[in-house]
Amino acid sequence: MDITVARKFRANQEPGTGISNDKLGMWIFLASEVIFFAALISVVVALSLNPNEEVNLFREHREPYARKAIILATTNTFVLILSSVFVVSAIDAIQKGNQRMMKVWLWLTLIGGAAFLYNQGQEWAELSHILHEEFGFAEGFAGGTESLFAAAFYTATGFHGLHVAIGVALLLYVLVRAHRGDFTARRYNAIEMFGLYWHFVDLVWIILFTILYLI
Amino acid sequence: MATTTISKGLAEQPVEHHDAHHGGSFRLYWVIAIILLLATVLEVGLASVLKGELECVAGIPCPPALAETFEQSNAWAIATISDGVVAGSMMTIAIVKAALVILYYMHLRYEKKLLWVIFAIPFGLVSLLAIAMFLNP
Repeated sequence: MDITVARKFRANQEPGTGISNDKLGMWIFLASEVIFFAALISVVVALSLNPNEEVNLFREHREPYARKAIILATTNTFVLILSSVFVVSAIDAIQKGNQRMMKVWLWLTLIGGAAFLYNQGQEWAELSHILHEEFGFAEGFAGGTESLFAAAFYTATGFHGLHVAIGVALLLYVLVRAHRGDFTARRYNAIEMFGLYWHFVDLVWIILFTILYLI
Repeated sequence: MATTTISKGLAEQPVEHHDAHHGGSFRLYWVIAIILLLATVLEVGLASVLKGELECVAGIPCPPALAETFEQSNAWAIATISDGVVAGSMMTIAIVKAALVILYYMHLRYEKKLLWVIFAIPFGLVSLLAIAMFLNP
């Protein structure tokens, strides 16, 4: 491979921007994700505020669910906040050359991500159960075709959950590299880029949790 | 033939730290984590009292001694405080939490202004969308 070509596309290069290519790329990607989630969250807000009689069932369906599931959702918020601080702790550890603590923090982040996905599954089951018990909808995702709240809820949290699942997959890749000894105090790009993605996922949940459960 | 060093891959190069290496300290990160957790408790607690859709706190029913006080403050809040104020205060807390994550965990505070612009543009567009949503339900 031509070395000049390879050098042009190095991740850590800063061609005129003063920011490394990988970081710039990740931030631009996250900016596009802001728009994506803004669209989903806007749907929830618009339905929630709509004074139309039929659409008001949105709030009617949400109330019993929010009442039952708020503790699960709050736990999920705690889990993601803690997993975010675990990631920055891992970066802090590798900056100080502490390989062992870096791996410990990354493993804790993985546990957090897995716990979030499990809880989210519980929340989905809870919503399906409540729609069935209190409003007579069929069990399972049938509520999503008959209840505006369920449709908005499953879509928004489903896409967010997908992002978390992708984050967990990325983290597994980072962990494999960490155990291989790829990271040093001067070289930990992958963890930093993963961290940016993970914090963004946490950020979206903070907003989504407020909009879905508290407003 | 001269030997050349072939790059091993895009992510294998040494990281240059001059931009955001200083970042925050380990202690600062954990202080922010505690602030975020407390803000969450505050949010959920406020929502419980102001909206009356949740049991005492976060779905946990009130102990009998507190039940009456909670019901009274709940009734007062529902009667006095408008939905807009409730929504506004919840969103304010959420935005403060989000700002802490972006500025400190994502290191935006220590990054070059270009990144601020890149991240600010979609938020500007989203704000326009949010205003349109609230003005035209």
